[in-house]
Amino acid sequence: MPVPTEESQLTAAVIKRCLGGDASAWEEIVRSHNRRIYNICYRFTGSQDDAEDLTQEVFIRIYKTLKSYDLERGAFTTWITTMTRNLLVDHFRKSKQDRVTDSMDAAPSADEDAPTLGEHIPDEKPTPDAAVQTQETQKMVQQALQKLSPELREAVILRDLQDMDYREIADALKVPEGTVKSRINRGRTELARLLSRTYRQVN
Amino acid sequence: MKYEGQNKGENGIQCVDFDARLADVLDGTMSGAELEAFKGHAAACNDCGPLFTQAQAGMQALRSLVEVEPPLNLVHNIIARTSAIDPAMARQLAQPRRTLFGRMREFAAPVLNPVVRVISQPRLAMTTAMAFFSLSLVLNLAGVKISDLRHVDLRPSAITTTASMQYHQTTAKVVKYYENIRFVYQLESRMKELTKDATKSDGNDQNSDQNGNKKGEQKQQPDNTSQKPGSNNKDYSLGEGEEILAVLRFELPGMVQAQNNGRIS
Repeated sequence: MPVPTEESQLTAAVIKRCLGGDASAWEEIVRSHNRRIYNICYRFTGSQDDAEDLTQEVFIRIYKTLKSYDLERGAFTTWITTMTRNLLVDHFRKSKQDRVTDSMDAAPSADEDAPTLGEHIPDEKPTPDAAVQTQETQKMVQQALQKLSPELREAVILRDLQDMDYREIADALKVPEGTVKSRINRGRTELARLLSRTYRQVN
Repeated sequence: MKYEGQNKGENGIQCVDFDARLADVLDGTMSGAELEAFKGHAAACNDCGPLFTQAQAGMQALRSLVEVEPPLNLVHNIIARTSAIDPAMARQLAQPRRTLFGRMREFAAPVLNPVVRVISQPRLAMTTAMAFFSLSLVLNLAGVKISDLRHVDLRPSAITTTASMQYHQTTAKVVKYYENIRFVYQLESRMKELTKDATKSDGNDQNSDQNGNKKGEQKQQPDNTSQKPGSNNKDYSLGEGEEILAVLRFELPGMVQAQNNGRIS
């Protein structure tokens, strides 16, 4: 059983108020978590409109099932993340989008001596075109992220973008911690290969 | 996958363990000999080496992504949609937030409302206005400015401190005023004494000069107070044993007759 922290106790108090009919408590919950959920949805779908709709759907689902939340079973953030992830999976299945997910087993490029991704990623030094380059890089990374399989995508989003630890991710995805680590490694590796391929095509 | 199921065992690490430890290395939680062994394996193994480089690059690429700003109306839309599920919450959210002042006004409404109704009648409006004007005038004269008042000034401790300071300042002013007055009186008294002494010594000189020659000349001299400061209040400062230099006799006719009658009888 997780040890209740000060944050979890505060969250529990807000949830209790909300369940008691305090509208301001519900607004507090929405304001606290909307940015995070929106970012997960945006990075997963790659669409601002879809992210907005999905974020609203997530909160409606939270609102309807708030009574079922049990503080002793895990953090509220993990509970929300699980709900978001489930909704994203549903959305992914319903939308039947073309899953252009390059296989990890695809034949490696003939040009193995090509520059590595680390050489392509702009360094920290500011340059005159830094803003443009950053914007372009962000766009390319987001496009590459869309090409990952949903399992790998959600794992790297939660780890590298939401900074969740492996235990929390394992709880949210309902998979063992070892599987989480493996998915994260594969997600990162595949993303790097996709980006390298994109750079080669551009150049 | 390439790295799975292989077991090369370079530098004490097998390829199957490499994947499990890769995340720890990238997170920076591995160190020392274990890390050296891991790096040695990555450098020696043709499969694991590129895997390590790519995982590192992928992680850097993902972490370079910045957080996106949600739409401004997102919170509003969420609350609007959830309010549609629960009308009671919608009504609650539609109510404006009550401030402390609002709550106080609501609390005092049963008492204040009848008073406001009475004083807002036309026949009492002028009286109320005059009362307000008088109060503001008094406050203004007392040096109290409403705009200077802050909520911290209305604390009981602040009020006590201010009252105490005002009392001590006023007391100090009064004491100082009377001390000043006392000093002035003492100075005045001393001046009078000096003047008397000076007058006395002048009189003695004059007496010694004129004694025997012109005894009644002083009577003939006009009022010389303009030449001697302080002599105009001579009668008031006359002490015991002092010489009377001049006397004005003023008798009413009736008094003379009464005195004469008394003598006859």
